[in-house]
Amino acid sequence: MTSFDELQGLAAELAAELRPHALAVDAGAVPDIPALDVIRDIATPPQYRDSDLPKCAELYTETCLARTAANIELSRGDAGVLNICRAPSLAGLAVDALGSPSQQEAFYRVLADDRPWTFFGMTEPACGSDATAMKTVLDKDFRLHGAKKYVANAARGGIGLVFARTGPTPLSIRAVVVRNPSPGYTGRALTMFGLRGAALGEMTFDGIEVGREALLGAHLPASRRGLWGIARTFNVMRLQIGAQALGVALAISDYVHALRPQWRTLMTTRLEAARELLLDCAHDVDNNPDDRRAPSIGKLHATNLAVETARWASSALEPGALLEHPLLEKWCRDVHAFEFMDGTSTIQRLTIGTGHDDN
Amino acid sequence: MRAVAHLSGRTVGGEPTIGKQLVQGALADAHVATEAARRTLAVAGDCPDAVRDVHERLTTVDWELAKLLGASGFVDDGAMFGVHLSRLTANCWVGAS
Repeated sequence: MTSFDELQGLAAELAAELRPHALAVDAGAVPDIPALDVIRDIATPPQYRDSDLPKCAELYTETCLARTAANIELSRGDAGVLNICRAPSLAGLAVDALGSPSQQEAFYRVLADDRPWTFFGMTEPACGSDATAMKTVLDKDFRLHGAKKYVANAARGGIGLVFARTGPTPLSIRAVVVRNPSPGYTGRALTMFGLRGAALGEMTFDGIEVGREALLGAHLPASRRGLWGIARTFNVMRLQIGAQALGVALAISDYVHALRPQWRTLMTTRLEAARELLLDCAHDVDNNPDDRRAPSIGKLHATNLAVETARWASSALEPGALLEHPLLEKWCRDVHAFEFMDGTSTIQRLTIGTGHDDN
Repeated sequence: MRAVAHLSGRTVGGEPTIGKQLVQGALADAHVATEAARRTLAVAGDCPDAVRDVHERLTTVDWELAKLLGASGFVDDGAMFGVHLSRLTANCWVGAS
């Protein structure tokens, strides 16, 4: 068995420990689950881990392929529960890309000592996917003014990144490390339709003083200090959203086939094909980190197929099945969340349709 | 109407979002599907299988329109809450074969 297979097996074992908490997390609980501590460590760069893990776990932070394969399995347990994990997540990947060694050390030290949730403040209420139109400002005194919305862990997060404008051009959009609580920081959780473990919220910054040392990217060339510096990070994360969508779709399919063991449906084949597609896209990202089309193809197909799988499940079973099977009903809500994460299907289609020159 | 109102107040790259071709295409598809659903109910409203088919098609249209609302439709009593209630109602329809 290869390390890759072992990691997938480990993820499947951990996923089984997430599933029993799925409905409680959907109802707003945040249970203490030992498997989440293991997942948190797996998702932390090896030099900052605080426990011994199997050798195969190192693959997770080394390749997009391993991360994607593991997240499919973990989400097959329950993506909502997976999202209450206090992992470095997107904020961690962005600190890896934009932070100096001392900034990375400081960020991961806080994660090790306080075990906070992390946030990644990019989206603003008025401009959604159009990040270059953001209004949040970091002034010359290193004070932050503005607001973000639809940010995971906005209210409960303890540390994260916020993107803000330091000047008029797209190159002047930079990332700063922000702590919560801080004077001038306000976070509010939003009531979510599904995937409630992600705890989306909104945050406002009323002159938060962040300090010069919190501004990431000063050691990098001007073109890579801000938005362009994390383009590769988004390529990796886009596939993780697709992986979560596919994981939920597989959970739905598993559930339906457990209720109807005599069925041999085409949906099983379509989901396995989608897994192959996602893994191939992840392999492409590992080989060509600047290729934006592959992650968009993977994410678009997985998110669409997950919604389709949920629709198939409710129509294939007897009338009233969604009320009779609360877990199925929950997953049929959860699958819709991925559409709005890391670019809507319209954005992905535009990237795919206009990105021929990337290859 | 809700999607049109939402999109009319937004811009992408300095241009009105409502004017984007992919958005206009999605709105047109939803309009056509809704008109077809009306006619189906007019000619076969007493046929349980047809009613079920119409409701499933409308669930699909609901989702395509909800996507145009972005994440705003997914939180704080956004459109998806009503869409899901409609879907649950359809799922309980026992008249069809």
